[in-house]
Amino acid sequence: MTDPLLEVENLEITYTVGAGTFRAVSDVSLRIYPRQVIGIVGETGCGKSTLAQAIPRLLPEPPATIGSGRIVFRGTDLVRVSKRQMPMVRGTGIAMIFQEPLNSLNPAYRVFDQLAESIRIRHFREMGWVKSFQGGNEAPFDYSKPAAPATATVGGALTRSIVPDGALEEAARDRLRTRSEYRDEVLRYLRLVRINDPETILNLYPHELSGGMRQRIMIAMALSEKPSLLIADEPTSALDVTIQAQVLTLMKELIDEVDAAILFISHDLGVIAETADEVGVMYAGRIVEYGPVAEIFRSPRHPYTKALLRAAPSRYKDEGPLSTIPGSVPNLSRPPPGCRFHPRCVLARDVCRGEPPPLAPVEAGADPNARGVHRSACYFAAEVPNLP
Amino acid sequence: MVATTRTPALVRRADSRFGVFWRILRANPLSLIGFVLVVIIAVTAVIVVVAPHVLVPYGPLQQTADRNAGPSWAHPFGTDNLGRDIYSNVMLALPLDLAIGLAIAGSALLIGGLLGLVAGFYNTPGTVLGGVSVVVLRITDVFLSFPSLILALALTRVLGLGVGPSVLAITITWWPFYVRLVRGEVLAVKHLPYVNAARAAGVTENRILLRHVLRNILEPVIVYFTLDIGTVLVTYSTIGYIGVASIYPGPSPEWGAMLAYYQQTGSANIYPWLVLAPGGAIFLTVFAFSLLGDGLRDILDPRTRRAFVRSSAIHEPPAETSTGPAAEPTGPEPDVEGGVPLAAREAHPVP
Repeated sequence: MTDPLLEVENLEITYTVGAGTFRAVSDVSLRIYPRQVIGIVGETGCGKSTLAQAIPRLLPEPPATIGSGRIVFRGTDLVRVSKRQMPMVRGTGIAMIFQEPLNSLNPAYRVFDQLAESIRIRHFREMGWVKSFQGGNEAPFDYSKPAAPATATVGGALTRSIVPDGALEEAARDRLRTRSEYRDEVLRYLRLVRINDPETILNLYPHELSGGMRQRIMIAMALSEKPSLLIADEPTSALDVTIQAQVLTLMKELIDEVDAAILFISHDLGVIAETADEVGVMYAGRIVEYGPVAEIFRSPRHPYTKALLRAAPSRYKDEGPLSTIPGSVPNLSRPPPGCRFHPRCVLARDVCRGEPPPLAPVEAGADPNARGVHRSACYFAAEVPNLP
Repeated sequence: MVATTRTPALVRRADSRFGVFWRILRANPLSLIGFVLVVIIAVTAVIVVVAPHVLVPYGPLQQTADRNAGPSWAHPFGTDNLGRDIYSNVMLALPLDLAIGLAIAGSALLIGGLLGLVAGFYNTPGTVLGGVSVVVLRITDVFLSFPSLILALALTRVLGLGVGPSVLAITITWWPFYVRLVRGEVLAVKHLPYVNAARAAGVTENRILLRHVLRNILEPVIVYFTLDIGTVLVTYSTIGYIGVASIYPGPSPEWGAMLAYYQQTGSANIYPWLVLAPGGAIFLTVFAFSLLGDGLRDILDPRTRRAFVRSSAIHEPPAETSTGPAAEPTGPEPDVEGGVPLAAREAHPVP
């Protein structure tokens, strides 16, 4: 059994804005194993983007603060990594695709220059010309503790490459590359993300590309660093539906080719259902239900998940008006005590106002730490299937 | 297949550097005028320095027999009451005034730009550089709270007469504007998604500042700098006019000082060419740099750059595009417009 690639434990993130503090993420735990695709789904403002950006420590701190918890990536607690060393983890270790493809490319550089930069970053790190998190056989960091991760723990994810390296790349491995060598490599990644006529696209500026093209360039940039974890934060929500489908299809195809785990953040249940192996449902900063994607969608065991699924339109039957969840998302500066969903929950009883329910396995006796166990943070999970 | 076939895209890229520059200038007549004027001014200044006898017939203090003569072939801008040739003095002042403008605006850009970058990018409270940027900004505020001309005049009085002290005085009052400008631009750019995306790709902070932020603020800063050369010239001339910067008549004439001298001696009331010539020289130089600044704005922004290339390429007869430095190996002209194949444009139209 492999160790998890990423282990988030009891993560607490607060925003301090003016006099108020907002608990954007409370007590979130998550494990991602190599080659897994994990989805996080939730409404706007439930903390899913905060969680996504906190993992590679991209949240502006302040106003955000990581109050407690650990983000253990390949054996190193990223919460304790210094600002100076953090860039070495990003890109080649944890790469990210953002929700704004329209603004996530630098308008001043051609596609070639942007991709070449990512490739250069990886190449330099692989060669050990800059200290790297992914530094081959050497211990990547000078941490006194915790001990640097043994590369063996992540197995193939370190050595296997996304696309077979070309002969040129092999030849140019231990020296600075020429422009035309970079060009060939950039072209390979452009073809990988199914871009037609890459020789032309290479020389275009971002504003000359459509949204879907830009998002593919972003994906190519992320992949060209050969990360072991790819975080996709709503990669399709800024695109219109047809482009969305293209990009999703591409992501699904790449998931098989890419030797990386993927954390897929979305508010769109359909997108998650199509891409993820396991899914975590977030509500008001907490993960309220977690499990294999089919099980979550077929038999949700948390009243919020159930309500969320009911509120999604179905294309198979005409149910009349869509159902809604009564009430509104709680103000995270003063979250309700106990289970945060109780003010809107049909199952709510007195016990729900006391201690917040733990994320416990649905099946009695199941190992809570095992991979892919269906878990729900509800005292009355057993009653959820009986709800309308 | 990849490396051996011809690489039209790269050839087009090489072609684009000068070709694009030229096409934008042509598409925009005012910038073309500005560009040509600046080139003429610069070439003239170089000739005056290297081979003065070509353009400057008389010495700055040389007296001729024609006194108070109007413009003529012998004296294009006339002479003053002692027969000194105004044209020669105006020409001799050109390199000096130009150098002063460049020196002041240039050092203000360097000092203010550097401090502005630091103050804008590393402004996290609680860090060493964050503290530095707070101090820099407060010093900037102190300087900006004075009218810069008055401050420059006061400093000139303290630092002494002459060109060097005046340049220093204006520079001291000038850099805070660049701190404010650069800091503002950095603040606007540093929170844009692409900066965060670069960070997520593992780019280090210093490199983000130099490669991603600096490149994107360059355009407004260079435009401001170009326009500012004109403003600096006017300010220096004002100080020269008040009579603390340069001595006229003297071995190294300066336009502002010339204006002041002829106006204060009263000659200008009777012989207007005495002030029209240096005044016109100031106007023309400032005008040229202003036009160039506007043109640069278009050239430096990739968006307008492409737009200009397209609109001008459409009106261009096909034969003329082959005058670029590199021949187009991509076949007939209709395939390529301004470096962008039509197919790509149709697939991804730019509004």
